[in-house]
Amino acid sequence: MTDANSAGVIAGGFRAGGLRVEAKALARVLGIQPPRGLQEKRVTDADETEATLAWDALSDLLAQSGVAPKGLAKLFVASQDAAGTAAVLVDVLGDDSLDVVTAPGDAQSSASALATALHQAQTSEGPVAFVAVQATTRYDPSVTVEAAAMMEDGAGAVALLVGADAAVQSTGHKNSHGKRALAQVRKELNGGAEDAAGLSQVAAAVLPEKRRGLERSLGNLPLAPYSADRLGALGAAGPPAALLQMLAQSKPGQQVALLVPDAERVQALTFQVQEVPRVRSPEAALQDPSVQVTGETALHVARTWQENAHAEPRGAYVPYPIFAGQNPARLRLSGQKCLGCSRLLFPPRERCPGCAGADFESHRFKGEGSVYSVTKIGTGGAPGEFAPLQSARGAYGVAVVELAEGPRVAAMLTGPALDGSGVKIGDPVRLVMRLLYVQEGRPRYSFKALPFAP
Amino acid sequence: MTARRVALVGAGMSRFGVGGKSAAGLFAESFEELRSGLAGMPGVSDGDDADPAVAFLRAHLGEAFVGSLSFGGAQLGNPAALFLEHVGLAGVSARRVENACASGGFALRDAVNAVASGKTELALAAGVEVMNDVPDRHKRYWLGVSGDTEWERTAGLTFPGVYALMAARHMHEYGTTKEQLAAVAVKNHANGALNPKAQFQKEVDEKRVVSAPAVCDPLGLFDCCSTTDGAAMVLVASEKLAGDLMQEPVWVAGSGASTDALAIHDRERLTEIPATARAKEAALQDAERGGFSLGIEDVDLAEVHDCFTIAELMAVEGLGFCGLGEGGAFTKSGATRRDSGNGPAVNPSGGLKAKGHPLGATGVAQAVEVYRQLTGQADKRQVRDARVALTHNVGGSGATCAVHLFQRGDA
Repeated sequence: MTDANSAGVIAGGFRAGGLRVEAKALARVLGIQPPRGLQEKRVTDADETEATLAWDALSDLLAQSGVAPKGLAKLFVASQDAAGTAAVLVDVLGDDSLDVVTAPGDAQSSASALATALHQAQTSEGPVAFVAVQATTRYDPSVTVEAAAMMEDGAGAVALLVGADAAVQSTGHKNSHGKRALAQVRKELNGGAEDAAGLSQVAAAVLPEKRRGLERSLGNLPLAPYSADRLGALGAAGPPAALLQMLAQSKPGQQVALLVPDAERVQALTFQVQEVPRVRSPEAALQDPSVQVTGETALHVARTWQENAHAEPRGAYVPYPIFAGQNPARLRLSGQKCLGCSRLLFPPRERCPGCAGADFESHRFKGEGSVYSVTKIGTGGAPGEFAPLQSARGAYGVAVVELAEGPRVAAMLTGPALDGSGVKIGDPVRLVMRLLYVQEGRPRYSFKALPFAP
Repeated sequence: MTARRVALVGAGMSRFGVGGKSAAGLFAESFEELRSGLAGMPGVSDGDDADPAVAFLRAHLGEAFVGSLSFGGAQLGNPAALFLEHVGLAGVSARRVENACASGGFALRDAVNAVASGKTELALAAGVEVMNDVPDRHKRYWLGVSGDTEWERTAGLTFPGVYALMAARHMHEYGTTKEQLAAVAVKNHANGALNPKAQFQKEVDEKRVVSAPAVCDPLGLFDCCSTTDGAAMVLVASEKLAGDLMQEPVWVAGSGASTDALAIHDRERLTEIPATARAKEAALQDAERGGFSLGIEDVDLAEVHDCFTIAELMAVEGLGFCGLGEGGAFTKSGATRRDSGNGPAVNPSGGLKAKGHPLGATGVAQAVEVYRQLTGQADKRQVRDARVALTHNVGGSGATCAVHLFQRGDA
């Protein structure tokens, strides 16, 4: 399925989990040997999930590409919980009519979905986004994860904008099964009917210990650098992450391939680089602020919500339908402008507290502001529904945020400052989507305040 | 129309603390103190009734208002009837009044209004709360339901958290220090040490307060009040009835109340509780209508809502005992100590901080202390020559506030 005029990758971005754990420290807690070459990895913080990582990556991509939240023609989501994650993304985008394709599963289904996205983008009437994500925070008690996976799995999300007139054109998708699949693909890439003689680079999302073996199998073709030693295995997000890192270092005119091998199957996606695309590679994203945690903390955070997801509500209870009704405000910062006195209101309300008018137009807040006041809720002080979060990180911070447009709102802190440390009145913050808590088996999302350096 | 004057003619409270008594049991304990005080009054012990005080109440009591959050949920519905039945007063019109921690102050206001309106000659304002009969996580549930549940609470906030946000902002804007906050705890614990009904009757020093474990930065353990079981009640009488009972009535000179946005982020400022200033102004105006010529500078003692140390600083500022932002220095200077002589004695009972804070009972217990002080029955913690007093009761983080002014004898 090669097409000279095929679509390709226009832009791409990557987000890593907010916590960093050393492989040795985690291996000690799990009582197993770490994979060779894995130095450390990124895992999800206690308020990060597939959906929050995916949205972080996707929202960055949309902002950088100048695509409006409702401007996508199609969205592909590849992850373990692709349907759940896609549902949250649709809520955040506020686009109920968006055409969504979900690819539940691992790297292979992610690669297939990417190939499909590239194919369908040729005929699509608007921009197509492909999002692949893996999280390590778990809230489903029925999911048991063996120690080896706990050891290897990292957290990250990739978002790609695909379409026609791309900087990087898709030139093919090969798919081989069976024991000789790798040899078959290698042969096709190197000397088959198609012209692959000029193949410059091959990317694959493999952990360092398997890297050399793969290179040997490929006839000593060196793999493009990929930061698996600091990311861990990223499941569905692995292949597009490796692709992004390769594309970031590519040169115009190069032919490159993404290889996705496992025991039974090998897929290869080939591309022609017309120009170096606008991508934020994993290598660059690893420079984002993160928090180093101990092996114990990493494991505790991963299981934080699992043990509490189905506990009876212990807090000031907001019924789910009421909560979900607030999604436009919580996820999209949709507030009001009073038509009587022009006052901007957030969160939304029935009547204007200023002029008591009831005529509003909706107003979407940008989500930037500053800390008006801040505190830190420590041991024993958390309401029941937040007790798992508090125990995961020792404390959590809460701020009153003054939005740039005027209104103030209470918001939990997130990111490296989740535990409330180092945040002062006046610090700039941005509202981002994070997990509030898991109740009745359902994750609830809202805005939280992420401090940033202006 | 000139309002009818009303007066306090009796008061009682249970021991505050962790008692193991039921709400009805605590109500009965506080009633016993009120009953024995009433029994000795002229105009009460006049027949051959087995219990003249109860007979008097059965004859005159027209309304009862019981402040309670019904914390823990032991008797959520219809508790007022149960309480009155337990003290032999079944039959009296009664209801529960709920405004979170200001339930008691609003029960008092309702009793005052009932008598002032002329509908009854005698009304009971009571409050009761049992907080220590449930496990900690259950307590946190109840402590969390009086704030804004949809936006404030889902940001992970608690009451200590909300007051900590106020404290942080107060420190930021005015340079208020932890030592100034600690001065509230040191003073109120010193007063509580002289109050045999107080939950905590031990003094603490500044070092211990400042170095206590953090609850919500910048507030530490000693910046926060405790959870308390307790009950309190006062009798509110018409001028005519009060004149029969007491030579020098304790007038309820003024009553004022106000509300505000429930969530703190919806308030214009975090460094003050606007409902406090509004309720105070309303109380002063009410006093003026009643023919009392009172200003805030006349107040000899004030029982203010010090659920957290920062709350007392905001209270003394909001009530006008000092300027905005000056509460820290004013308190640290000792001006509000019981014996300072250059400011009102603030929380001579020990306040919520040392006396304890059984939510619904607190606003009424403040009036009990005022009654004791203005009738010269406050023993070791007596404020000398006390003539004018004020109570200030706040619900939640300032969504409700009731302020009352009292005066002994005529001006």
